[in-house]
Amino acid sequence: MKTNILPAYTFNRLKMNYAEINYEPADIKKAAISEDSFIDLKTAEDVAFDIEVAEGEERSVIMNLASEGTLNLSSKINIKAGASLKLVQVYGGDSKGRVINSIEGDVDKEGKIHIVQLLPGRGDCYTDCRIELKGDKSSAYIDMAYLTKGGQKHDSNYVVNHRGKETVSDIRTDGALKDGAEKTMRQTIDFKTGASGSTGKENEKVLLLGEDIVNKSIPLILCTEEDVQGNHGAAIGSLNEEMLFYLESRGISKEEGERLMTYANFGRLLPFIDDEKYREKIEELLAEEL
Amino acid sequence: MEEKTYVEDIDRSLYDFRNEDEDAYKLDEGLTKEIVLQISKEKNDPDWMRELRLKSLDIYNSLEMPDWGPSIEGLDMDHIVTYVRKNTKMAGDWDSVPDEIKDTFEKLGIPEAERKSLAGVGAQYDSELVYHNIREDVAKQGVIYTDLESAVHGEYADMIQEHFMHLVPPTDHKFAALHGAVWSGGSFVYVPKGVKVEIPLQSYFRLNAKGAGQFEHTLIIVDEGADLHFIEGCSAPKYNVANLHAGCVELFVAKNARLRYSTIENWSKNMYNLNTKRAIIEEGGKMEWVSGSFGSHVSYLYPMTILKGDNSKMEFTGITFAGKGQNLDTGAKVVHMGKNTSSYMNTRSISKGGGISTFRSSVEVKKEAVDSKVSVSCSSLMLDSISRSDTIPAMDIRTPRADVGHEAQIGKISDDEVFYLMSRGMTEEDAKALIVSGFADNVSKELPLEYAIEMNNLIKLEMKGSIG
Repeated sequence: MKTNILPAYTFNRLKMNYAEINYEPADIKKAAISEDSFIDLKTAEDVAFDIEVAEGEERSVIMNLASEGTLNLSSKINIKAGASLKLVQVYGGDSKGRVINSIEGDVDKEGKIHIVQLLPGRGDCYTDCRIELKGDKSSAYIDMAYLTKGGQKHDSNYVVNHRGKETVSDIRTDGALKDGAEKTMRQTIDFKTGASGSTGKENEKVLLLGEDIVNKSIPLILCTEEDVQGNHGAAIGSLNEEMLFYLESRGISKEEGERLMTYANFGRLLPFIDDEKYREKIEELLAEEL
Repeated sequence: MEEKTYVEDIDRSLYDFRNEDEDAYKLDEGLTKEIVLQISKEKNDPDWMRELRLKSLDIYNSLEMPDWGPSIEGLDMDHIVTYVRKNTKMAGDWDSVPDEIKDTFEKLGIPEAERKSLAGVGAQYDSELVYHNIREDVAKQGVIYTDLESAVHGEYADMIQEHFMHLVPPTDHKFAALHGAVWSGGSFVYVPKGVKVEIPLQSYFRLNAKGAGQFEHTLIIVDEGADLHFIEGCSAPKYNVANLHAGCVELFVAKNARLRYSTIENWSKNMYNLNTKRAIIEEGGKMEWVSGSFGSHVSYLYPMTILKGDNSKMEFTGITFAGKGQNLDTGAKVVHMGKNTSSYMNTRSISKGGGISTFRSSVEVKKEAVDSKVSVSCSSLMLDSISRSDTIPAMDIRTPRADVGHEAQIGKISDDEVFYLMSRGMTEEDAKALIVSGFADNVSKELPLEYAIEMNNLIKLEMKGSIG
């Protein structure tokens, strides 16, 4: 299947315009969100959720993506006026597993979506996330931390379309690549005509920790509206000499420093997990992986 | 109601005059094997060049149009004349150039620039060079600056065969193949070891004929420890049919050499500018690109630098101004292969009046390019909401021992900056004019004074209207 399609193509030889996955979905199972809003997905399956957030409602949903084999997950999200949704997804399955995750979200006036994703190096990950900021003053925040290692593939595509006036987006992805990891990160903020007064930010930090890594990044800003502010920043590299000196002067080895920096990407996101027991479980998972 | 601050389109009247081409020799429209062989015959090509042309034609026919950039549907190769020659031979002094052509270049200020500030000039009119000259003192240093056709046949024939379309092979893309098939004109420069050319050389390309293509080839070799600044200018009058520019620039920068390649591109708004430029840099060498893109209906232009040698460097400074009816897709590409290489891209783009400006780049850092550094910075200014500005930067990093930074901004003229200038006594109109002029400063400060003035004249940032 073809996924993670870049909204504006670039040079074909770079192979960044889309991802090709050797997988064809079978019958997609429609599933409902449980009452406690905790979804534990432990089976290899093709499954789809509809998440409706009613006007003025605040909602938080946690998805534990922990299947063996391929989990093909799709979420259609509709956030009504003044409502907000926090969606936490943890890719915590088998280290040889694979998650294909698609999110499509519409956000009405003054609505808010916050997507928090933790990918602690458990198998191949494909994420295709498209948010439509339809209503005025609607907002989208995407926070993602990852570790990709040992020949794993990690391919993401985040797109936020600003349609309403005074809309806000902030995409932040921080991660580390180790030994044979291959990562492609696509980020797009698209200011459509009429989205006056809107602001959008993209930020990417990548820590390169091992040999034979492949880091591909393509952060797009598309714009047909004058009265907007869009910014992108990316920093890709290993720990620099100054940082290493600082750590070593405090008795912290290079390896421990790298581990701390990798953990910090996840640590920033842990407070967004409201369920205390689940958060502890994720902390254990991180301790094990890092 | 607030009237928008008005930034004028670039004034092209200086470039928009045209000459009749009744006495010109033209081949038929379109692209066929017969036409390619006819061009080859006109040029008296050696066998290897004729074979390269025919092979390129086959490649052209086998490749698809690009599916990722601006639309080039309006370009119909069946209606493009690939070779047009005025009834004149190349001259070494302006008095020997026919009046009509001399007058064209006088209006463009080329002979005057040559007298004042250039070490040599090449002037191409449609498909052929009409003038080529190098200052005697520069020639005495061993610097070669000649038309490429002479070089193909003369004492540098082996050097040309060794380098021609090796850096940009015809297989690179469809319009590189087209270039390989029908190329005509262009310059060859060789700067010997250790020679520093103190003042620039310039080639100017003028496309006068309606519905024609220009396919000049520029080949520059800067030998070990040498230094050169080469300036390229281009313009054309506007017609109501498509014209095509598919030139090719191949630059070879040897160990510890430096080459600065400056371009002020001001093609007319019916031009499809599908140009290919590439440089390969050896150990300790440095490549500097200064690029201003103001003209054309559609542009695909991404000068590429291959940092092959250890400690080699690249800087790219560019500005693109897209006005009404223009879709300018510009940027740069760099490939880091050597150790401890560095690249720096700094670009600005302005979109107005429905113009589309796209900054597109690629940065590749190969596994072997350890301790390399990359910095990319691009800023875009939107002057209204009927225009479009896109930023499409790609990075492919394959060594952990690299330091890559990228930043991009898009927005309108900052209210804070306007307020600051107004608080110091400027009118709002003047403040905005100053900000927009300053936005283009990254390029103008890199150009020789005469060219910076020309560029500022080109932009002609005139503001009018009551504000707020």
